[in-house]
Amino acid sequence: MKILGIDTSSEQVSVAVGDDESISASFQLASDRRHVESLIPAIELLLRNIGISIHEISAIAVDLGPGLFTGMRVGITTASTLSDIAELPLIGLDSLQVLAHGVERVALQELDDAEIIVPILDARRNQVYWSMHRIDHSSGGALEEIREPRVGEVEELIEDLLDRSQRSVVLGTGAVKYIDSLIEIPDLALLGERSGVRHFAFNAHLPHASTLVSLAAKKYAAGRLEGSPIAPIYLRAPDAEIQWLTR
Amino acid sequence: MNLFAPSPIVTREIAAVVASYLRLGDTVVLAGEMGAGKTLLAQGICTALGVTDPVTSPTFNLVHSYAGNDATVYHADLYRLKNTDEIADLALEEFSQQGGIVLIEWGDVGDDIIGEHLEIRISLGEEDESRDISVRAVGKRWELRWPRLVAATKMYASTDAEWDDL
Repeated sequence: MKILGIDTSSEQVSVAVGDDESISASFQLASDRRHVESLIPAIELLLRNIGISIHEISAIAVDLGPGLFTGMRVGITTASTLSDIAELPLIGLDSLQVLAHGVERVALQELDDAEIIVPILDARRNQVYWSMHRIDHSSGGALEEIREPRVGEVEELIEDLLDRSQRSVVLGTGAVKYIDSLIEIPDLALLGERSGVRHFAFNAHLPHASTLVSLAAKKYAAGRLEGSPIAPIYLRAPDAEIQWLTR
Repeated sequence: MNLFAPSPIVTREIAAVVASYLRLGDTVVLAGEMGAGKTLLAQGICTALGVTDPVTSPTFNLVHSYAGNDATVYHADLYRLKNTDEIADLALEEFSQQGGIVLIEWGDVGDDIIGEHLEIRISLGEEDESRDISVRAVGKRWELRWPRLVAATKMYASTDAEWDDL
């Protein structure tokens, strides 16, 4: 089994090839406007270096957001096109889930005495995207989603965390940006704080394609491919008719 | 603040003065009736920012992008849109966040939707070619620059203008 993972939902472009046990190759570029230009060459580079063609891939995994609209659309369009051409199944996962599970790959010990992990991505203008995952220590730190992805003001997130009042680890660009307000919450720590680790194998505050690959590989192995449609998860304000001041 | 332009040339001058106060990441809303001169303002701003390609109204393409001297200028037009979802789809905020300068025609759709910006509203004046132009700033981003912009455009101010003497 080989999964090709594409994650362009943030300012970072990442691509990885692997299965549920290991990553054969990965590429990442931390640049906020190179999504279109770098994605296809990155996929070619990885496949060429592993020595396989797109037809030897078992499935394509793509990050559906929430995140950067422009980035997400590049990734989803590319993944859909490749899956059509090569007739491969497509597996879509949300960015917050990918972000949360990234911890398993870089710093599992960070979760040792925590009850929940809260991935938080910056949504601009004092808003954030977040979800919540319970850490099941009895099964080796497996994560179970207990709050679906949502968008809201930072104050709403803080209220949500206070309501839950559990020992939590927060991570993601939104957690980093608003840590000064979040840190007031009892029993909350930013990822990296407890262990003092500052540099991870990849930016642990952004979703990464290698995490996407291992999550998708588990789904693929379990045969759980059908389900939610492959479309961007925007999580934006409710739609309304435009009210021009003059028109 | 309220400015007065007796002719299209002066409208472009005002656009150029405003452009000289723009910073990477700024958003400028261009508001006004059909034919008032929103695209003329956009052209004036683009030229001042070093855009050499012809600047045309993006009514049908929704967003055009132009290379300026230091910035990519994104020129959008919301006229054809109906719902706020369609505005969100354009992800104009992402362009400004990436260091572009975003100009939005028909962009007077609500400060909460556009976020921090400078609004230039242009309307037909008493004479055929004259225009009344009002400018306002929304958000902290403009706090420090605003007094300087007001000072720099003082000679075009409606109350101070002495165009009859020229």
